[in-house]
Amino acid sequence: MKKRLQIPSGVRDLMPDELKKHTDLAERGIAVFEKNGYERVQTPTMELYDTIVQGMGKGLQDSAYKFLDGAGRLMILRPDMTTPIARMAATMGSTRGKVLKYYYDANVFRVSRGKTGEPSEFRQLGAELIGPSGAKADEEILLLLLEVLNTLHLPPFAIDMGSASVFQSLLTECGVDKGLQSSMSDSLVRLDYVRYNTVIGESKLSRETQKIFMGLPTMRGGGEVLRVAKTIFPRSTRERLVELESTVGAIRKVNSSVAIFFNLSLVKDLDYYTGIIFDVYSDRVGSLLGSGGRYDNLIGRFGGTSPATGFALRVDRLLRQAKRP
Amino acid sequence: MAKKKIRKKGKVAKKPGPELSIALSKGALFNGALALFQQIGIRVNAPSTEDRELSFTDRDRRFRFLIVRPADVPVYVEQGAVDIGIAGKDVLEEGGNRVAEMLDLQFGGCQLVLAVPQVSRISSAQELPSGSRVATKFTRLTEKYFSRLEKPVEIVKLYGSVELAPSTHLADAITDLTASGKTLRKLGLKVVDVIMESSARLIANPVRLKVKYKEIWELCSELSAKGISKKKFKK
Repeated sequence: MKKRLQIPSGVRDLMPDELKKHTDLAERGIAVFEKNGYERVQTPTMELYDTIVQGMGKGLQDSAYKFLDGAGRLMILRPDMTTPIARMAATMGSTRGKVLKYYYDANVFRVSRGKTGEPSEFRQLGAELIGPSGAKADEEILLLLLEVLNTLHLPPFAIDMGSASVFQSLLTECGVDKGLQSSMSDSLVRLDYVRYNTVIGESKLSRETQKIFMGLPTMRGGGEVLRVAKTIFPRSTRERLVELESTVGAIRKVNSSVAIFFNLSLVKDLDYYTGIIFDVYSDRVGSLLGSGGRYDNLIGRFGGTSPATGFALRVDRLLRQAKRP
Repeated sequence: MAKKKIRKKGKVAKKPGPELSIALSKGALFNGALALFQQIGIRVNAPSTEDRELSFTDRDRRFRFLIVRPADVPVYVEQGAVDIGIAGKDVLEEGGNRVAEMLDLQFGGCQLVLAVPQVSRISSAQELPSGSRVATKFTRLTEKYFSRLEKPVEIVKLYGSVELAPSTHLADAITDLTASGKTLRKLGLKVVDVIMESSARLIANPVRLKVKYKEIWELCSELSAKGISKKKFKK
């Protein structure tokens, strides 16, 4: 009898020619990581669900493959690398005073929603800088990202940069209550500007405060964005803006040609990100090439204590970006 | 390296195309969408139906429009096949695609409702017996609705003429879109609950929203200044 030769949807075989392209790209990135003193780490492909979800946002949890092991324990196929690396850093005991510079080149797994053409297994190339907090570490990780992207000889890419601390500070300083905070940030994460404006419009916030928040989605661009923000944001938030400005300034000093934009409505899971947040993209691919930011509380959720910052790039999308005419 | 150069050359030679590509829903929302663009001064005529034209530009070539099936609009936008699109909120919720929702365009208003035969004694979703069969085009939204109510039902996926399901004993109830409920009444059905309110939305691809940031937000502000009717849309 003839056997069926199917593989699950969302995964694929890579024949030598194509695998070589993936590997070549990854290796160019790896050379940059090594040169900068980053060390490669590997975590298990599967983790215990109960352990890993302590540090995983709801979105990632939902998109992960779960299954039972032989003993009936719930397992998870890693949907990202940052969470397992944070788990690993926490199991190493005290990371206080230590600086860990890790990189990875690994496949992660996410259930793709319906027939969207999105792969359910893909390769990620990324780095984590664990230990130091503050602008210097953010600059280091951003410069590392740029160096990796530049070695890949890609067509033009750009970076949007926001800050979880600017947004959080603005929420706190304007006296936005917890419930409203979460529906506002949730709307921005999901890019639902209709709901965002609706919840603000229906809130008890003052007219002026409403105007500030409703203006956020269009506050994106060069230095002029921060100049405007500084005239309308309250005081403590302005200080956070200066931090963001100096980080970008430091990057531009080293790499003056980089297309980097301020984006004050760039918000991701606020439980996770605590400082700068960034997206890497190009006009050739309709989805992000990569993203990253500072996540000072993640390792804490696994019982350790350590600030951290990092990024992840999608190898499949970088290749798609390189290929398209 | 050599390859890269060729690519660059190609880019220079390219004629400046329309600044934005827009996917429009075929059907109920199509005329409303065109009217909206005409209202903000875009000189655009719909291609005649005989032409079976699936894409066209306005006379000043500012926009390229694509005509696709309503449920396909968020797919085109999510994948970046077009920059932006106009789709009903119902379609967006049903599809769950990752797109930016920019504006409530406040036309094409309708409701997704739960309806049962008029002769039925049922007057609310809660009264529907567990295990009832519910026919719908909107399986995801219907499933969510009933799971919120903690009411187990069997969902039957249909692609059209959902109103016929109860009279043919295909299903005990239906969920479907209605603007006024008139058609449902005519077909012997009554509305027992409103699952969601819908209207047309302007959506954008998340990356294009960054790359073509100025163009997209400019269109949004033009539309909200002149295009969208000022009457407050009831939620």
